[in-house]
Amino acid sequence: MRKGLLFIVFIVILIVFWPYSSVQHAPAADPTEFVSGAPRLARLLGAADSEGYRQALTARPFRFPEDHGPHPEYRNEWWYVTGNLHGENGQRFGFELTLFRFSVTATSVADDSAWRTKQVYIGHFAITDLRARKFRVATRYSRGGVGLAGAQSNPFRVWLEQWELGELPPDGGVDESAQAWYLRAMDDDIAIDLTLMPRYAPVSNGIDGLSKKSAAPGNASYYYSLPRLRTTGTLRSGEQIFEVSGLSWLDREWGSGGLSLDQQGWDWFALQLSDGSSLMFYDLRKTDGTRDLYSAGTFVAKDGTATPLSRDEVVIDVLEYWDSPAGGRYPMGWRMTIASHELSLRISPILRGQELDTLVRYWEGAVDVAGERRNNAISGRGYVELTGYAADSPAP
Amino acid sequence: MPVLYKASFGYLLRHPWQLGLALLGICIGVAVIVAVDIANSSSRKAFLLSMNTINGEASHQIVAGPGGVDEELYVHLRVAGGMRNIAPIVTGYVSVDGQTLQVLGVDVFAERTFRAYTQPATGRRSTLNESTFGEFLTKPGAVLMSSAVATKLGLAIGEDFTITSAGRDYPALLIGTTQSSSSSAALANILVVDIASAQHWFDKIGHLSRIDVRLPADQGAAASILAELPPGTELLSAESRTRSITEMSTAFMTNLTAMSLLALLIGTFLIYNSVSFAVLQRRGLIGVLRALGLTRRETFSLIVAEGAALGIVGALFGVLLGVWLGEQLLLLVSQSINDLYFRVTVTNVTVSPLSLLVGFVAGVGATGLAAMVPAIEASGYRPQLSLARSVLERRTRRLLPSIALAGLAAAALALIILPLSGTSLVAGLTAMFLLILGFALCIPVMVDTVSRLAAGVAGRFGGATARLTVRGVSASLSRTGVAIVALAVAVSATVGVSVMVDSFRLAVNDWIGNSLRADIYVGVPGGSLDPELVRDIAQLPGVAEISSSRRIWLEMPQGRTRVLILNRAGPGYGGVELLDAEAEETWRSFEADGAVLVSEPYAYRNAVARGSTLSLNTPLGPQAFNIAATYRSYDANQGTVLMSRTTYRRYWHDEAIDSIGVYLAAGAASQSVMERMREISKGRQSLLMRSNRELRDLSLQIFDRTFVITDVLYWLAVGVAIIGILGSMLALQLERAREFAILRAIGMTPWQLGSMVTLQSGFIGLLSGLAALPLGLLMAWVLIDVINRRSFGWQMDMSIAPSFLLTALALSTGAALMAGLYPAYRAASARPALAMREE
Amino acid sequence: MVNSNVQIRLSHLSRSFQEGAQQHVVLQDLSANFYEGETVALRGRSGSGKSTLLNVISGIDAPDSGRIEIAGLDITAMSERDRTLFRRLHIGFVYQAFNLVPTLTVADNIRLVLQLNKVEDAEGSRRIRELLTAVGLADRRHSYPDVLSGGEQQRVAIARALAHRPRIVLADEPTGNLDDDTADDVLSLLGDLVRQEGGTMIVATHSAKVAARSDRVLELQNGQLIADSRHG
Repeated sequence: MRKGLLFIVFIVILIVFWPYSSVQHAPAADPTEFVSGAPRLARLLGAADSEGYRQALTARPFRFPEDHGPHPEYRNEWWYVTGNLHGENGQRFGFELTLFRFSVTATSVADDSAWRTKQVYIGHFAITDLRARKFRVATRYSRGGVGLAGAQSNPFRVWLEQWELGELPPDGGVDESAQAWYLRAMDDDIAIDLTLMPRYAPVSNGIDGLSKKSAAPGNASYYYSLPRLRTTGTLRSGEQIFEVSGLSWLDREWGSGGLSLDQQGWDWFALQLSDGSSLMFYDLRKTDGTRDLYSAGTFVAKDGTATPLSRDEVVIDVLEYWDSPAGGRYPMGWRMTIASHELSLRISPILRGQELDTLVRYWEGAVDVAGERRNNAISGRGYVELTGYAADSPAP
Repeated sequence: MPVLYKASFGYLLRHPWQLGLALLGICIGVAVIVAVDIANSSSRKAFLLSMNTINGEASHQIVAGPGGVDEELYVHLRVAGGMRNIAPIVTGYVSVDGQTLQVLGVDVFAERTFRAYTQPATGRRSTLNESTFGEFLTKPGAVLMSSAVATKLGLAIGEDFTITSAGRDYPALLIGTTQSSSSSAALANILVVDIASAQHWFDKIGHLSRIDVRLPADQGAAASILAELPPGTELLSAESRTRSITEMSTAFMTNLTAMSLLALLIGTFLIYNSVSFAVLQRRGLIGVLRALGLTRRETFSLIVAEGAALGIVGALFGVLLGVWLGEQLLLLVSQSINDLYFRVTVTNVTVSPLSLLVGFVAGVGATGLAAMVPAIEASGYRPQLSLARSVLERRTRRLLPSIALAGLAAAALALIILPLSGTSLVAGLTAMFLLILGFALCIPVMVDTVSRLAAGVAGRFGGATARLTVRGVSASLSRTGVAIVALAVAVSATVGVSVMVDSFRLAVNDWIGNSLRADIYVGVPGGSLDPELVRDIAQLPGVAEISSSRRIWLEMPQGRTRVLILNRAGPGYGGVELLDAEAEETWRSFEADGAVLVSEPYAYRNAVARGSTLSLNTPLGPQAFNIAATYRSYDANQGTVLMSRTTYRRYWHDEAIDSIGVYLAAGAASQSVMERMREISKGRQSLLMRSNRELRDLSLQIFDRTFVITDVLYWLAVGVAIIGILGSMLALQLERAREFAILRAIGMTPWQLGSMVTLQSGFIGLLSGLAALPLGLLMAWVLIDVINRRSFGWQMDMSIAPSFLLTALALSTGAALMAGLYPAYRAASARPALAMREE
Repeated sequence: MVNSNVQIRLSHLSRSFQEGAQQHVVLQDLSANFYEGETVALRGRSGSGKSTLLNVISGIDAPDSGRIEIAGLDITAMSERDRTLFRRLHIGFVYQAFNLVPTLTVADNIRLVLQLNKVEDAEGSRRIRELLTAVGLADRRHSYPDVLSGGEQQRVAIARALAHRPRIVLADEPTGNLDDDTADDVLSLLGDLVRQEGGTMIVATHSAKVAARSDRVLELQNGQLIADSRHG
């Protein structure tokens, strides 16, 4: 979800470090000087100039398929897919593929060279292989020009070099009722080639799709989700290829705002429950350790009906902690209680070390859910993202 | 130190001028070798360093013909092919404030694993910050450069400036500087820009100069790329590409090295001279030492050790002097390389320990060799049986025929090597040195004969004094012989090189005169002419016809080929001189049948001729072309293939024109046409216009500049030889002090004696000069017909200007007269009584 | 101290030089013995073969025929190198022209011979001191030859000739370049020292005075021995 904002910081780091070839020299400078924890991050994001970009100020109805495509007049945007999959013999996998678009300037850069663009694409791809207890990550960067990376709405397609998310042709023969999508990504040890089938229409988050992150106008985004995508395809982990199936979650968000200075980071939960309902909640943490007022979420019923969740409706207790070998202490086990929906859930990671030790260090991983709803046992799976807990590492 | 060596060095220290001159000879010889090596290797290293920086971690490069690589190929390889270790590059040269700088257009996202632009500086880091990135990517003309270049150009960050590419001005903006440390010094002259800016500046929209590729060592990876490449596009190893560029200058550098060896050879004669004197003068002492029980071997070692010690000291100074001289030569060498081969900016003098060591070892080795002969002689001395002078001279004279015979053998060997060694430059140079050596060994016999004959003549006309003067030369041949040889070799080098350069210049001048037929030549630096502007120029009043040309490089794994595409003007191809075919038929097949012509160096280098075919890499894949003829050309020693525009169009979709020749209508004034061209090109492209005359002068200027270094080297050789004469004359004067004293005692005035010594020296110079003439002409012949041809593939007629021969005679006689002055003064001012008491 | 052991045995020595077209005979079938500890004067006119005889004895020159034995060793059968080494070890020279090395000090001139004979430097220095004291030049050891008088130079040459305690000392007109008084001094010094060291000495000389001091006088004429007279 909002991790996308993190990648503005990514660009900052890219700027500072692209001159240093990673093959030749480790930079002598300590990169943490640039991004030493989230307050610094928030300051950078807050400082990021959103002037000249279109702002997410008022709610607007989403229109599809156009809104699946890019919104280049906004500063940042992302296509963000996570999912829990299993192989034919029950092997458990989690995956994350995120494609971010950032515009580095608000002004027009028309040029006769196809390379000239203000759009930058960044991708993160991770696979959690529970049986092998392996968590593998890959990153990509590219300009959004000359065909190397880009996005379009008709037919919908977003790609970063070989990584690609798009709609299958309607006669793909999968299901007449909804548009099926494909998702492909690969790196040295990992790959996915999946077909995604939505169960219902996109769900708007926030207030009619406008998700406010702080009191400042413009510190908001347009945000919709496809919480339950039936997923089939193949997955490669190391040398092995698996036929997999399961459920995925797509988040789409665009806007031009940043964080406010007193925000430290966030905990984001996207859970798919066994009764067909789903919920998304992000908990914004302030530098003083308290929960930010703008923490919010959405509860989606089995039929796709969405109900907003406010900060005060959702109570989260941390049950366990985990110390990253690279430094930083993450919460690693929660009890989430939502009285308004009579939900009580215990959330635990399927593997602790699902930390992405990339330029910006954060934790994002598959989780198991167990608990009760209206006194009936309920289970589920999902993804959790934790940012602002650790200082960042040098270039990969 | 053993007393024995004390005795020997005591002697040297008591004859400081002899010691000094010997040291100076070795010193200069070594210095020239070291200097040339430093100049060569610094130029080469600067080029390699900049290539390495620019190639970065790339192991291979994908290149295509004149238009460059289609950018779609890059996108295809990355997006569909999933290749990640590739990076697109658009590169070229621009000028900023009159300074030429290389532009590297990059995609920063692909760069990270390829190139390191900066070193992490200590203290302040580079000035790049978050907004730099955005500007770099999105602002047309946003430039990064090293802080050194920014300082040189007087630019501050955020400052706008103008770059000129292919005659067009573009706005640029300095957005940041990088700290360049010594290892990335080559970046000092590079502007880094986004690929979009570079495409714009170099008129390469849609195309890339190349794609850098980082391939794992296994062959499979290369094969999978090769399968994706369209015809005419090649995957080449970066290293071999760099090598093939540097190889262009190899022959040039080898020739410089040969020149430096000549200086050492002459230095070696000088050392031989000095050591021989030192031995001769101590033959009594050596006799005593032998009587005291010094064995032959010990005597030999003593003399060789003495020579080696001289060599070590001289070579040490030579190395130091060489480093200094190298810096001076570097400017000349890098200038010539820029003129002739590739662009190189030498910011550092690279003094490799190896080149110092090589110079040092060469110096010590040459001295050791030079000392060997006198050492053998000394060890042959009978103990105490002090050798009478006359015996010694008799022995020398007895040896003369054998020496001359050895010389003839060396020359014969050279003449055998020449036809058998094919195109090998090193063999050619070896043969030349053998010829020089062989001839040099024959010189003493010639001197002996000539001076005997001359003594008779001189006696008849000049009386006893004149006879004594001339006879003295041959009578003391054991001493004067070597000096004469050294001077003769040095002077012959000046004759040989002057005749070669002059013949060459004459040939080039003729060729330029013949080739340059148009009245005005128009081009733009480092780019192509706007085709519309060319059309407009053709329409100008006063313009009768225009011809056009385009120069491209075609690359294949086997190497690169330079192709010149010509479009003739009305008068036809009169400017091209065919060497082996009849014009009408040749030009018909050149125009209509797709045949090509090859330049003389190309034909020589690739062993092709009229009737053979050659293969060129076209967008349709490699194609065979018939060679219709060989033509004369001195423009590029790597060779050129000449192709008609019609043929070119058949394969390449490239209408670019690099330069045009404008033929004026009858009565049109070139000034006013140039004015009009300037007028219509204003705001479009600033043209480089040269009249026929200017272009011709410019070409000759570049030619002359190339040979400045040659001049410098042979004057150094002459300097060494003059020192040799001075040394010989001084030694002779010391040797004959008693004889002079007797002459003074029997009534010769100091003035007469002084004149006699000076004239004797002058006579030595004259003899050297006379010997130098045939040797010089021989050398010129070898230089022109063997060395030049093997180095550059050029052929030319030898033209001998009598003035060179006279100059050489005057030079050697004058130099020797000068060298005789001081010994004459010493001889004349010696007190006869003192001199007679000695011995 | 003369005893009856033959130190040098010369048998049928002949030597001639080619001078232009002429054959010049210098030694002609010459035989003679020299005994341990004896001092022999060689007399004869210039060109009588005195110097050549000394040269062949020392191995500097080789006879055309004949045989030279020194202490029982046939040096005519030796190689050039072995003869040189033999000379280095066993023979000392004194020349008419002194023949000091001009670039070496007095002490170093003597040291040269000692070093050639591999005498250690400390030992050599003692010997040099001893010899220079004996020839009366102890205070001139650091001087160069060119500042010495003729007599002094010849005394250095004598010290050098005796430095390595040779079995045989050969002297070629040792006083030829000296005035009479100096010649006397030098000669008695030479004779005394050789006797002290127990060596055999052959002196080529014109001087009757020198002959008178010798144990034996040999007369040479045209390369032949014409007289052999022993003194009391």
